[in-house]
Amino acid sequence: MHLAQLRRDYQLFKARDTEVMAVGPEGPGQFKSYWQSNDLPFIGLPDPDYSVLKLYGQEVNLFKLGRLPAQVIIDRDGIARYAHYGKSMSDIPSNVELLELLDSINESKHDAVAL
Amino acid sequence: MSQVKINTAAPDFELDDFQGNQVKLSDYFGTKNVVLVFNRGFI
Repeated sequence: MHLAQLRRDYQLFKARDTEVMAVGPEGPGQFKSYWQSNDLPFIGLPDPDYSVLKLYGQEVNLFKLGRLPAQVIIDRDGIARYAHYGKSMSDIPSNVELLELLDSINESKHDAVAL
Repeated sequence: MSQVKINTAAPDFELDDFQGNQVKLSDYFGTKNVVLVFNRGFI
Protein backbone atom coordinates (compact mmCIF):
# COMPACT_ATOMS: atom_id res chain seq x y z
CA MET A 1 0.00 0.00 0.00
CA HIS A 2 1.54 3.22 -1.17
CA LEU A 3 0.53 5.54 1.67
CA ALA A 4 1.76 3.09 4.30
CA GLN A 5 5.02 2.88 2.37
CA LEU A 6 5.35 6.66 2.59
CA ARG A 7 4.48 6.68 6.28
CA ARG A 8 7.34 4.30 7.03
CA ASP A 9 9.96 6.70 5.67
CA TYR A 10 8.26 10.01 6.34
CA GLN A 11 11.05 11.15 8.66
CA LEU A 12 13.55 10.59 5.85
CA PHE A 13 11.50 12.86 3.60
CA LYS A 14 11.28 15.48 6.33
CA ALA A 15 15.05 15.29 6.82
CA ARG A 16 15.36 16.30 3.18
CA ASP A 17 13.26 19.43 3.70
CA THR A 18 10.38 17.79 1.92
CA GLU A 19 6.67 17.75 2.60
CA VAL A 20 4.48 14.92 1.38
CA MET A 21 0.93 15.62 0.22
CA ALA A 22 -1.52 12.98 -0.88
CA VAL A 23 -4.39 14.06 -3.11
CA GLY A 24 -7.42 11.88 -3.76
CA PRO A 25 -11.00 12.08 -5.00
CA GLU A 26 -12.49 10.97 -1.68
CA GLY A 27 -14.24 13.45 0.60
CA PRO A 28 -12.90 14.93 3.88
CA GLY A 29 -14.73 12.39 6.06
CA GLN A 30 -13.28 9.44 4.21
CA PHE A 31 -9.81 11.01 4.33
CA LYS A 32 -10.11 11.67 8.03
CA SER A 33 -11.10 8.14 8.95
CA TYR A 34 -8.43 6.66 6.70
CA TRP A 35 -5.73 8.97 8.11
CA GLN A 36 -6.74 8.20 11.66
CA SER A 37 -6.97 4.45 11.26
CA ASN A 38 -3.62 4.31 9.47
CA ASP A 39 -1.89 6.97 11.58
CA LEU A 40 -0.61 8.87 8.56
CA PRO A 41 1.67 11.82 9.43
CA PHE A 42 1.56 13.77 6.18
CA ILE A 43 -0.93 16.10 4.52
CA GLY A 44 -4.12 14.59 3.10
CA LEU A 45 -5.99 16.65 0.52
CA PRO A 46 -9.52 15.64 -0.45
CA ASP A 47 -10.23 16.67 -4.03
CA PRO A 48 -13.82 15.54 -4.68
CA ASP A 49 -14.14 18.03 -7.57
CA TYR A 50 -11.07 16.47 -9.23
CA SER A 51 -9.61 19.97 -9.66
CA VAL A 52 -6.01 19.12 -8.79
CA LEU A 53 -6.31 15.58 -10.09
CA LYS A 54 -7.19 17.05 -13.51
CA LEU A 55 -4.66 19.87 -13.23
CA TYR A 56 -1.90 17.29 -12.84
CA GLY A 57 -3.34 14.88 -15.37
CA GLN A 58 -3.86 11.82 -13.21
CA GLU A 59 -5.10 9.09 -15.50
CA VAL A 60 -8.09 6.93 -14.95
CA ASN A 61 -7.93 3.25 -15.79
CA LEU A 62 -11.31 2.72 -17.39
CA PHE A 63 -11.04 -1.05 -17.35
CA LYS A 64 -10.32 -1.31 -13.66
CA LEU A 65 -12.44 1.71 -12.76
CA GLY A 66 -9.67 3.19 -10.70
CA ARG A 67 -7.24 6.07 -10.85
CA LEU A 68 -3.69 5.24 -11.73
CA PRO A 69 -1.07 6.32 -9.19
CA ALA A 70 1.16 9.29 -9.95
CA GLN A 71 3.96 11.06 -8.10
CA VAL A 72 5.38 14.51 -8.78
CA ILE A 73 8.37 16.09 -7.04
CA ILE A 74 8.34 19.89 -6.96
CA ASP A 75 11.48 21.68 -5.83
CA ARG A 76 11.76 24.80 -3.69
CA ASP A 77 11.61 26.98 -6.77
CA GLY A 78 8.24 25.53 -7.72
CA ILE A 79 9.67 23.55 -10.62
CA ALA A 80 8.43 20.02 -11.32
CA ARG A 81 11.64 17.98 -11.25
CA TYR A 82 10.18 14.51 -11.51
CA ALA A 83 6.87 13.04 -12.55
CA HIS A 84 5.90 9.42 -12.67
CA TYR A 85 2.53 8.42 -14.06
CA GLY A 86 1.87 4.79 -13.24
CA LYS A 87 0.96 2.42 -16.04
CA SER A 88 -0.77 0.07 -13.62
CA MET A 89 -2.13 0.16 -10.08
CA SER A 90 1.15 -1.22 -8.73
CA ASP A 91 3.49 0.96 -10.82
CA ILE A 92 4.79 3.08 -7.95
CA PRO A 93 8.39 4.22 -7.42
CA SER A 94 10.13 3.03 -4.27
CA ASN A 95 10.88 5.38 -1.40
CA VAL A 96 14.59 4.83 -2.06
CA GLU A 97 14.15 6.11 -5.59
CA LEU A 98 12.24 9.19 -4.42
CA LEU A 99 14.74 9.91 -1.63
CA GLU A 100 17.67 9.66 -4.04
CA LEU A 101 15.95 12.09 -6.38
CA LEU A 102 15.44 14.50 -3.50
CA ASP A 103 19.11 14.19 -2.54
CA SER A 104 20.15 15.08 -6.05
CA ILE A 105 17.67 18.00 -6.19
CA ASN A 106 18.98 19.30 -2.87
CA GLU A 107 22.59 18.87 -4.00
CA SER A 108 21.96 20.77 -7.21
CA LYS A 109 20.57 23.63 -5.12
CA HIS A 110 23.70 23.64 -2.96
CA ASP A 111 25.86 23.66 -6.06
CA ALA A 112 23.94 26.60 -7.43
CA VAL A 113 24.51 28.49 -4.18
CA ALA A 114 28.20 27.57 -4.17
CA LEU A 115 28.63 28.89 -7.68
CA MET B 1 -5.98 16.76 -19.20
CA SER B 2 -2.26 16.94 -19.67
CA GLN B 3 0.55 15.55 -17.61
CA VAL B 4 3.08 17.74 -15.87
CA LYS B 5 6.20 18.48 -17.86
CA ILE B 6 9.55 18.09 -16.14
CA ASN B 7 11.59 21.22 -15.50
CA THR B 8 8.63 23.51 -15.93
CA ALA B 9 6.70 25.41 -13.27
CA ALA B 10 4.36 23.11 -11.35
CA PRO B 11 0.72 24.24 -11.56
CA ASP B 12 -0.18 25.98 -8.32
CA PHE B 13 -3.28 24.90 -6.43
CA GLU B 14 -5.12 25.52 -3.22
CA LEU B 15 -7.16 22.89 -1.37
CA ASP B 16 -8.40 22.40 2.17
CA ASP B 17 -6.94 19.40 3.94
CA PHE B 18 -9.37 17.01 5.60
CA GLN B 19 -9.18 19.05 8.80
CA GLY B 20 -10.17 22.24 6.99
CA ASN B 21 -6.72 23.84 6.90
CA GLN B 22 -5.98 25.67 3.69
CA VAL B 23 -3.00 24.25 1.83
CA LYS B 24 -1.48 26.19 -1.04
CA LEU B 25 1.35 24.64 -3.02
CA SER B 26 3.18 27.91 -3.59
CA ASP B 27 3.34 28.55 0.18
CA TYR B 28 6.05 25.88 0.22
CA PHE B 29 8.15 27.48 -2.47
CA GLY B 30 11.38 28.86 -1.09
CA THR B 31 11.39 26.53 1.90
CA LYS B 32 10.50 22.94 1.05
CA ASN B 33 10.39 20.41 -1.73
CA VAL B 34 7.00 18.78 -2.15
CA VAL B 35 6.24 15.19 -3.06
CA LEU B 36 2.75 15.21 -4.49
CA VAL B 37 1.14 11.81 -4.42
CA PHE B 38 -1.93 10.93 -6.44
CA ASN B 39 -3.23 7.81 -4.94
CA ARG B 40 -4.99 5.00 -6.68
CA GLY B 41 -7.85 5.47 -4.20
CA PHE B 42 -8.05 4.05 -0.73
CA ILE B 43 -11.75 3.54 -0.18
